[in-house]
Amino acid sequence: MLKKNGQPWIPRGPRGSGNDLIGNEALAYRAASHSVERDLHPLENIKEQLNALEQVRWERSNPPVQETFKAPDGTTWDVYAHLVKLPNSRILLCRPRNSPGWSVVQEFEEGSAYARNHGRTEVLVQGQNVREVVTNYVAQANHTLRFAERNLVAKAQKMVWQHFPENNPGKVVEALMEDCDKAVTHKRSIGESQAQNIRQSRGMRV
Amino acid sequence: MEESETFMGFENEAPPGQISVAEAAIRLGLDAFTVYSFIQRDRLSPILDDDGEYVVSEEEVVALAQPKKE
Repeated sequence: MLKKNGQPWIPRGPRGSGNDLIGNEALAYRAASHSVERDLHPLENIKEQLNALEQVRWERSNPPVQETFKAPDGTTWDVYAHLVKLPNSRILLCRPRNSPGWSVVQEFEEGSAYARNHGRTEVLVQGQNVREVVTNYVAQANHTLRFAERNLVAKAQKMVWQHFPENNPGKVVEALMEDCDKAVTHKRSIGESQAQNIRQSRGMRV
Repeated sequence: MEESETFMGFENEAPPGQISVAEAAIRLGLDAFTVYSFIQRDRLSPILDDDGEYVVSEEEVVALAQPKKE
């Protein structure tokens, strides 16, 4: 950790802004930040994937089928794109075989308690227009991210006030809130390169 | 506070009968983001605890981890 005048020091914001964390503030921030990071990192990863999806133009009339799966009701689903990879599931853009409608489907890992009892797939969004279906899913997912981020901030706030009440907890929480906010609203530039990869690997028209 | 001090293990305990979203995800074999989406789709009821954090009912999570009743 950086030090200033022999004290732990975390510079934040423009020089002289008074946002730097010094001494025990810095130690409290670092401790809480380590704990929050574990929950925050997956959200950041999802946000990057959603940003990438927002860059894709879903206009190709006959995109190639990437894989298929059979639902318990016997329907064969064609998978046209892998939208988001989550730790124990994935979000797929699908169409039931010989049907014009599009669906965003979540496919859970086979062994999970939830999948064992509720099936491996769930339809999240449906519609006739592929772009609208994906856009609706991205909007829903962004809403979920915001909810998760706000809850993470509440959790961090609780932790800081409980464990570091003497270390300027308000300032420490403010810094953590900023980190959480950045993670789920970060700039498009991170997602742009991924979108490019998706477009290239899928041969999509842009 | 010493700089070398380790800070692991100060997870907040949820009140009896309630569990955190992260814990619910572990029990269901899912991830926290999916559990948050379940809350938004009314698959799980959110409970706001005294400190402003949303947790979920342990009973509801256990029910969700069991076979659906016909």
